Amino acid sequence: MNPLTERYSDLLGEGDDPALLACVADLDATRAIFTVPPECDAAIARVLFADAPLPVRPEARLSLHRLTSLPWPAQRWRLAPLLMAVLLVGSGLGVYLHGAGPSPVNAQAILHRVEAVTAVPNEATHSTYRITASGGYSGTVDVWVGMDAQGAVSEFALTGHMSLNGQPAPELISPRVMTNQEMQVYDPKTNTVTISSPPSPEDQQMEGLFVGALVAQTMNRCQAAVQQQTLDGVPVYAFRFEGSQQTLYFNRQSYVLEGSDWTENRPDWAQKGPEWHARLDPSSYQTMPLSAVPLHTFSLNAPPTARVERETSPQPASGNQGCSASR
Amino acid sequence: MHTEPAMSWRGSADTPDEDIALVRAAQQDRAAFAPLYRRYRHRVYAYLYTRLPHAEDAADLTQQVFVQVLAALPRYRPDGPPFAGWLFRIARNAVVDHQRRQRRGAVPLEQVPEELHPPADQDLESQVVQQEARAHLHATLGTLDPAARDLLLLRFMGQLTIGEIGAVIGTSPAAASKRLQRALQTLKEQYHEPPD
Repeated sequence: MNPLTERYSDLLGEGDDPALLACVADLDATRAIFTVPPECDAAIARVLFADAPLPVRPEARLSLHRLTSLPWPAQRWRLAPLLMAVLLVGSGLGVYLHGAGPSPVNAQAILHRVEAVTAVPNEATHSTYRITASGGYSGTVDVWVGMDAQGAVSEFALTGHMSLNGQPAPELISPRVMTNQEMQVYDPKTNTVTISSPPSPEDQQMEGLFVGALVAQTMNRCQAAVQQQTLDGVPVYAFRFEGSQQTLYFNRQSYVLEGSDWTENRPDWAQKGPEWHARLDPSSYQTMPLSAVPLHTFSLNAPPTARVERETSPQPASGNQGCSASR
Repeated sequence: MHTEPAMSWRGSADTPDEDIALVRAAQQDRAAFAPLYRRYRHRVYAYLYTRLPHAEDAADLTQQVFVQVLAALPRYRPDGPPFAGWLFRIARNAVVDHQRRQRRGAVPLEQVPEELHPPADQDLESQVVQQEARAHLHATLGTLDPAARDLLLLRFMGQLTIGEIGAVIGTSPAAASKRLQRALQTLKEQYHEPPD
């Protein structure tokens, strides 16, 4: 048996057709020509093994997902968990959290790592989350986030599709974009674009997404229990914030935000609201140079007939607000 | 023709057992991923290089694949599919994603930062040789349907075993072997026919 037939013993045997042997020999010889160019090899190795935070990129912001067309306060509650996640990732704040559970962990170290792997300067991330909730809600949300040269969140866009009991319910989601610290939200139900600039306290948590100091102030008031567990088979750190009904899950290896759970309590509901779940579609996560983001990604694309309203900012919330998604 | 799926043609130094040991080490320490990268880099590159319409994308996608593999490695279960099959499944998915993005025209090359472009100082002769080989391969495989072509590229460029190919395409080793044999026979029958 010659080296070729030995190497391809699953395809070749003694006395094979010479044409087949020639075919296999040709393919084998061709393969040997294709090797990673040395310059690329070195570049890849740097990316893979550099001490700097890895391209294991997380996407922090799953949560804006649920942009519903509900009035702002309701939206704020629903978005809070996501915002907190983003803030944690984007602000770098050294929040002190209490470890809990069978394997105490250093919450601060986790958050630092989350930040380190997330905030890649001049990079954009695209991710998709599957959203489900009690009451028949389901859908997906696409989230784009752009980082500036310092690795801070500078642009953001969220779109998606929601269904209620299997029927498309476009009114349940409000596309939104953030650029230059101005948030624009389109409400398809009223055909209205709401602009918050400077960030309205009504959704200051959302705003805090882009202003690290606000996030830090908020999170410094929070306490959370951290546990190691699995989420759909994926090892995660689960952060449960004291006084709230929300949990954020960070991948224990990649520090990607794998999902979040929260319960929506609304003042107009007598009882506890729906329980929401956001889960990262693991195949959806992409990163790319900010310059490679498709055009108009961070544009709202609202109908030209949409009415535009500017939101008046109430006084900033105080106390323990911001630590809980449900109030 | 011998039709028994071969699982160990690469010899003891490259057996799945060794892959498992390397994977377990890399799951504990990211730096230990280096041997796995070295083992598979050229094979992944060759596969991507021959699957993509634009050769210059192969290096970028090779990096992307290994980054994804490193990120996902904690989720890989050594008692599951062979590591090489898992790795090339990621590579194959990356090709699909890439092609989808290309169809959407989402990321024009002009918008990609210069540092991500193919290295300009890559040896010109090497580039020419690779491009000619690639053109020859495409001419050779061009008459096959995409699925058969992919099988042959997984086997010859990726150097996967039948079992690993089965893991990539989601079939049993026996079914993968049968399809691969069929693809190779089709290729052989057309191989000496002069191109139009």
